[in-house]
Amino acid sequence: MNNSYLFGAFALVTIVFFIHSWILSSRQVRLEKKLEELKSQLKDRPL
Amino acid sequence: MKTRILAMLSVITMLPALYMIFLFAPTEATQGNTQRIFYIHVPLGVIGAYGSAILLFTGCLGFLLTRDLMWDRFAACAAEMGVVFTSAQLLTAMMWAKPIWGTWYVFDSRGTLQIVLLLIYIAYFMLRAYLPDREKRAKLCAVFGLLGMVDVPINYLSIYLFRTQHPQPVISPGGGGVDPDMGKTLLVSSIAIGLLYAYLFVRRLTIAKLEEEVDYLSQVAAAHE
Repeated sequence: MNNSYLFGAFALVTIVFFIHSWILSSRQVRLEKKLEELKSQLKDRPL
Repeated sequence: MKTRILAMLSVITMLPALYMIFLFAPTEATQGNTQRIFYIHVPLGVIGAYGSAILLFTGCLGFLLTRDLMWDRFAACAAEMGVVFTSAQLLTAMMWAKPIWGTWYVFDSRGTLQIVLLLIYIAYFMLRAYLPDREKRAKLCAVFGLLGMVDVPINYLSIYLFRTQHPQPVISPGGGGVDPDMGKTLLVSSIAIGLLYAYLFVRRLTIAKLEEEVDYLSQVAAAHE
C-alpha cells in the first residue's frame, strides 16, 4: 500500500506544531518587549 | 525553567515514539503501514481534543464558582490548545481515510461531532473577540464553554450509540484489544504527545499572564497621559 499518506500525515502534524510553536515564540518575544517598554515608560513618571 | 524541562522531555520521548511507530510496531494485516497513523491520531484525539475539553470545562466552572479571572485565562488557553490539537487530529483522520475508505471525509456521527467540537473551540474565541469588557467576557464565555462541552460525551459515545463508519473501539471498554507491541507503541506515543501538550499549554499560560500584565500597564500608562 502507498506510504505517502502515512508520511503525509506525520508531515502535516509536524507542520501544525511548528507553526503553533513559532506563533507562541514570536508572541512571547513581542509581549516581553512591550512589557519592558511600558515598565521603563512608567518608571520615568511619578505615580 | 518548567517550560524548558517539559520541552526537553517532549523531544526525548518523541524519538523512541517515532522509532516504535515506524520500526517496532508490527504492520497491520489489512491496512498495511497506513494503520501507523493510529499511533498519533488516537493520542491527538484523547489527550489533545478531549483533554482540552476537560481543561476548558474546568476553567469555565472554576470561573463561575470563584469569579477569579485566572480561571478565565486558563479556559482560553485550553480552547486554543483544543483548536490546534483537534485540527491536527482531523488532518490525520483525513490522511488515513483517503487510502482506506477512498475518500477524504465521511459525514458520520464521530467525524461530524469532532468537527462540531473544533467549531465550538473556534466559536469560543470569536465570542471572546467580540466582548471588550473583561468581566462580562469571562462570564459569557464560561457559560458558552460549559454548554459547548455537552458535545464531548456524545462525541465519545457516538461509536456505541449510532451506526458509524468510524472503526469500532479497540482499546476503549468493549474493544477487541490490540497486539501487545501495538499497545506499547500507543502508550509511548501517548506519553510523547502528552508531554508536548503539557509543554505547549504551560507556554501558552505564560503568554496569557504576560498579555494581562501588558494590558494592565497599558491602562496605567494611558491614565497618566
